[in-house]
Amino acid sequence: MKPDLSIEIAGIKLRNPVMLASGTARYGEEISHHCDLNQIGAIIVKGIALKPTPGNPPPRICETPSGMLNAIGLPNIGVDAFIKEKLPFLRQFDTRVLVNIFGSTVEEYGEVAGRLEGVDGVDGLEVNISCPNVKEGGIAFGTDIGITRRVVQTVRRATTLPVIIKLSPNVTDIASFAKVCEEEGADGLSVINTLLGMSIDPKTWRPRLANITGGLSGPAIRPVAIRMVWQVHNAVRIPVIGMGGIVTTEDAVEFFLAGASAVAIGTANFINPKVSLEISEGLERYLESRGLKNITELIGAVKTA
Amino acid sequence: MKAKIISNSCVKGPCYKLLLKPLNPVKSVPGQFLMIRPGASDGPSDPLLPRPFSIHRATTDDHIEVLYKRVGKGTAILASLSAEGELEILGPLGNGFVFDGVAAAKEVVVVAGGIGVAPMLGLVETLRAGYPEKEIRVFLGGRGEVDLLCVEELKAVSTEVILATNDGTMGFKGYVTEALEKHLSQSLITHHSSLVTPIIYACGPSPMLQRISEITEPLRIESYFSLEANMACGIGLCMGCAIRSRDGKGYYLVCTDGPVFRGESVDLSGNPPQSPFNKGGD
Repeated sequence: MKPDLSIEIAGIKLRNPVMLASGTARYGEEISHHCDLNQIGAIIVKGIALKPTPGNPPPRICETPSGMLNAIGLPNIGVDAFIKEKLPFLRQFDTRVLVNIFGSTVEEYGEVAGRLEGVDGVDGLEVNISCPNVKEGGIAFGTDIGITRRVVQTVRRATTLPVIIKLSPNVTDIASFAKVCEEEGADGLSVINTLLGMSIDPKTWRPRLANITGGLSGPAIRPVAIRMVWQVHNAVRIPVIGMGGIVTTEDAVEFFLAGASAVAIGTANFINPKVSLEISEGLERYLESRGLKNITELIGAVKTA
Repeated sequence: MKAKIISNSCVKGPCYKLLLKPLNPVKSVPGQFLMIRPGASDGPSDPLLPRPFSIHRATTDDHIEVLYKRVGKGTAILASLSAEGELEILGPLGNGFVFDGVAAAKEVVVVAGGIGVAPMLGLVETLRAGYPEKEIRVFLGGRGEVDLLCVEELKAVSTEVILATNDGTMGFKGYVTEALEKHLSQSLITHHSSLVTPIIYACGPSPMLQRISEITEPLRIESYFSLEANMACGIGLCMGCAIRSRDGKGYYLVCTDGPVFRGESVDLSGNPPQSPFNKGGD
């Protein structure tokens, strides 16, 4: 018998525990030409806000050792256009759709969440708290524990959908942020968002990104992500979706062992848009080769003693 | 998709020509590009990302030629690869050149700066085959003689090839756009009575393209630019390859909206002259 890859996370039943990470698969259409969306666990769509936003000026990305920096600037078409123009495409597929949301104020998070309540084809929300809080001088919501609490409270009140908070790694003690999210009723946590970074061209003395700083992703951040998944898993009871530099099946296994109940593939989609399918097949073979029947047997199974 | 390396050799200075045989035959049009991973697909994670390269030429036997310049880590690895090896490629991608205006145009003007010639030989060959009677003038520019590539191949399929170098080591001394401006002013005086104008195709550094816009837009000359940008995926996922649109509404993506754009649709003013990735380099 084939091993069972299905899992229920935050009340959402997934065919397999491999998702497409937000910001690396747009709203599904482009990647669907390369990757069968019926075969993935879930797609987490690119961040959606109340109003359309154009994104940052170029250059928006640059490569770094085993990773990349990005400051795309969250271009988005606005929640109403997303529901009308993009969601019908995703409804054709037998997969789960998590909508990543962001806001420039705490109140906006509530409004976006409210608009998505009861909308056919939306299985849950992933809340990006790594973006700047305009009212509080641009500091990221997710790096202030008090503001993180208010965002979770606001979204929780606005929706009955499963709420997953995507934690920022740019904090000293990620476990305390995870606990606050759990206390305020979050159903799950995505761990981690990108690490804040910067790169300068020694020839021109200019930053390599127009935005000066950007988010670091790719294999370079994987050990940080594994450490944080492990810390969060040990601090809360709600499930963790692990992400950060997964390229191969073995990388994904590491995340399950650290405590993730599911994984999301981000930067690796840029290198090989089929990689999430290859990883879910790889996980099946891995379980088989180890004589395991269920993916849940891996979760948090790291031997630390 | 896997592609077999048939040959990979230095053409001139830091420029190389790679001949690939994709596992499955692919059809491409001039102006389209490929994403190529510099190392093995399951190789080390540094360098991590595939790079965009213009398709230089598609041969009749389903081979693809890529003309590239060794400029960074990725292209150095690519240059070190030998025949018989394999590469992971994705493509052909993007929208190629548009030929709608060619039949009515007075002449076709092709402008290429440096390695920007990469997509232009295939373009000129296709134009010559499709419009045997049309005058095709190619303006080829570089900092010095070493930057001028494909001169003989272009001469074989065009009416005239005009060379320009900044240091005067070959052809006109100065910018290729100065040579272009001189030609256009002369040909427009000659044809002042008629409204028939040339059509322009260009590829090269942003300042060159911007200067072409300044020269051609007042004259209402139809122009098409093949642009380069930092790209992580080449298929519209990362949204990294943004180029500001001139309508003030935001950005286009070079990978899926381009890489060929109408000259007047894009705002090139804010772009740095050199980017760490380029088509025909990285």
